Amino acid sequence: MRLISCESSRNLQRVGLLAALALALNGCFVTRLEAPDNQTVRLLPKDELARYRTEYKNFYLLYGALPLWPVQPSEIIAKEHLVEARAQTRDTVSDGVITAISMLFPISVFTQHVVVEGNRAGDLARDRLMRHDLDRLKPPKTAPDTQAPGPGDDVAPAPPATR
Amino acid sequence: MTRIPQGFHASSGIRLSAALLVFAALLSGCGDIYLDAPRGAQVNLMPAKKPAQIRDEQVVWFKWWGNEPFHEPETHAATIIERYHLTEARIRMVNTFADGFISFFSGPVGFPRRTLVVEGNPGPTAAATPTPKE
Repeated sequence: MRLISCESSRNLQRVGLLAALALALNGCFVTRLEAPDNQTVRLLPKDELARYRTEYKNFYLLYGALPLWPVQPSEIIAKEHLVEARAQTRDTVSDGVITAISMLFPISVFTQHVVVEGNRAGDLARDRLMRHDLDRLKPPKTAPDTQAPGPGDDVAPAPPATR
Repeated sequence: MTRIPQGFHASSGIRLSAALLVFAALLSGCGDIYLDAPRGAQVNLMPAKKPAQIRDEQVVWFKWWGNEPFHEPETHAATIIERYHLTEARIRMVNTFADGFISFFSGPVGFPRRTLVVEGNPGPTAAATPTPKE
């Protein structure tokens, strides 16, 4: 009987330890993609060209409660005068290792890797100009009946020559 | 005089640290979440204080320590924006308390989770009811 109670208390201790570890390794933090005040910013799709790109890590202390110099994408949008933007958050192995090392000390540090991409108004104007120049360089379109047949095209046999 | 095994504490400390590092590396996962717009759509970003009519949360599950999502479209904010026909939106990638707690148990076996929150307003031409989830 005493053995059983001893075993159950040990199990309870294990569950308690797991729960404590789960809480200790638990961080709450957020990465926001918003427009800065009084600025119109288009949200970029994933496959569209972005001329500007930056990557950085945000650090959070005490389970995410205390952000250390957090840089949100909206700050970068405002600073770099982006008119188009998209962002990406990435959790890497290095983030986990930083958190683990910080656990050895009384404070726990959580990190989040953020990628911000976008275009400035100047980039868009340059792209438009380049597209315009490319369009001008293209040869003028010819009528379809005057085009030479391609290798795969069916060519009607030439009519027999008459004298 | 008895000799105290000096190396005992040091080696167990190293072992514990190594175990903690490996556990944290397994726990962390490597999930990517994209805060983007649907292809070909004209969506503007909303300022923080502007009221939003629609708010949707999407829990994103990854497998193989974040190497691959369970459902790729869930990792894109574009999926929610498209579902509600939003013309303006703001996006948040949140590591919630629930994410951290659940990932503590699911993460070491390779299944971390994150949360994606999208708030926004649909355009005037959007349907009154959103497209149902697949």
